[in-house]
Amino acid sequence: MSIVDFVRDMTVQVMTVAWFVFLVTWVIGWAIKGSPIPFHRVKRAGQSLVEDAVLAAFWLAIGTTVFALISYIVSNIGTGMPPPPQPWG
Amino acid sequence: MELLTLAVALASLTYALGALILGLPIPYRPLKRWGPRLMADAVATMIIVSSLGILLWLSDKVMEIIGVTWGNFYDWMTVRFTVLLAVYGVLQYVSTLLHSSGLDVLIPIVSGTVSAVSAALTGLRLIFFVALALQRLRYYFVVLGSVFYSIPFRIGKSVGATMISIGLVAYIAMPALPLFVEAFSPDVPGLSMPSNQTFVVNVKDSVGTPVPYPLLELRSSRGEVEGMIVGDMYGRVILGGGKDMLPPTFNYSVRVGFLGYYFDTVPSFITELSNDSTIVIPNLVYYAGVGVLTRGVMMDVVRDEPGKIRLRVVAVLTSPEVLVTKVAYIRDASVRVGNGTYECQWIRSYWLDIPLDTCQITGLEKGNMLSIDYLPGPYPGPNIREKRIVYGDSVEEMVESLTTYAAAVLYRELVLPAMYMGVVASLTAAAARVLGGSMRLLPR
Repeated sequence: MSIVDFVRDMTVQVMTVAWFVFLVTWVIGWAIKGSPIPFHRVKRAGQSLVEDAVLAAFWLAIGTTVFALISYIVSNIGTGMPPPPQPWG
Repeated sequence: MELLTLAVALASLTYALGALILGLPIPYRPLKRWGPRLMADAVATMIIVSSLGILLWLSDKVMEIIGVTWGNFYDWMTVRFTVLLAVYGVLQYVSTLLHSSGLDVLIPIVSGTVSAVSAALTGLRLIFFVALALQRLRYYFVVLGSVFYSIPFRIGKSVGATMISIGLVAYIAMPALPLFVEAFSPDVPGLSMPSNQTFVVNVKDSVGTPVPYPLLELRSSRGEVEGMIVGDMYGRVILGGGKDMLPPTFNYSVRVGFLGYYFDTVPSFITELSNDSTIVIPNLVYYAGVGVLTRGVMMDVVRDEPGKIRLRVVAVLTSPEVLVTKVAYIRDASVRVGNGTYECQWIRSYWLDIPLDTCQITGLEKGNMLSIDYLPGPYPGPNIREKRIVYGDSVEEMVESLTTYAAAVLYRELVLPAMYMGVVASLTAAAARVLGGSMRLLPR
């Protein structure tokens, strides 16, 4: 396994964790927001968690797509041309 | 290309980490702030990595616009090296010349110039090495810089930014060194060196036989001894030729020291007009270790060959004096006047470490034949430290020239390039700060 593959694997794992964390945060955020606690600061923390989770999910979706595209282009741009067709003998 | 892929992969990881931190269910602001920060870093890295080709192309274009090329830079460096090495050689030669001229007091000045030149050479070597590394490793600088730049949590951001800046800015700025140096350098004066003209003086006896190892004494018009120079075994005395600092024009009266005596010569002076002159000692007959010195007596040489000297007295003037002088180790010397053997009283003396025997011949009359038979031998050169000619104005001119040259060389070849390297370093640092230092275009 090359270092590039290692980094890519790690990226995929981090992204998976990030999606999972987004869900957890979103749920926790709504839970806090909807909890029957009459403290405005606690409610605001829940609101902020939901906002962060949504933002993270949005940027994760956009970013991973764009980055995957760039990564694909970069890894293919240096690839040599395929060998010319050989005439039949 | 592998490195670029790695940089992109690292940027993706940084972005994912940023998104992860942003999405963490921990409402702690200092931690959360790292989310957008890492994502912005990843985007910046991605932009830099994607535009590396354009950046490299742009830097080449800028070089083209400025009108500098690496080829011209190396040509310029080669010329500087060649000039400095030549000057180094010349200065070593001058040092030797001063030593042989007895002007040791001036050697420190030359040594100072030599130090300046060697310092300049070392500086140029260093610049050459840096330039070579820049030119050869530019691509690696930029790509490796991108990799460092894209490591998450800004671990290698400063290093990466610096490396990218070196690959882009220093690569353009370095070949412009000749332009900078030429624009700010003073006119380096030419090194004034003593004339390399050579004058040969052939010293001969009255018959035309070369006088071996003659000691030529040269006096100025004021009567001061300007030089004491020993000739070679063929009677040739070389003036100049790198050993003397002769004035542009000169007229030295000369005498020749030989066999313990100083003889007047014909002509009695030498000038710069003739490069190859002959001076004759009229009252000397010399052959293979034995000389006959005459005063007040005119003699005709009848025979002159190794071991046999025959002289006939043609005329005797007032207070005649004839001396037979031989090198002490010439053996079996017999002197005859007419047909009878002359009982010589050989008187031993030493002249410049040469042992000499002298016999005075008296009672010569017109028509007498003076015969000397001996076993011929060589004449050893006088043991004397030569005093080479050093013309005062030449020395002054040379010292002035050397000090001016040393200062100019230090300024032009060391100070200016060092200043320029400082400028390049500042430009590179500034570019690095724009990319990742305190003067950021990108958000924290």
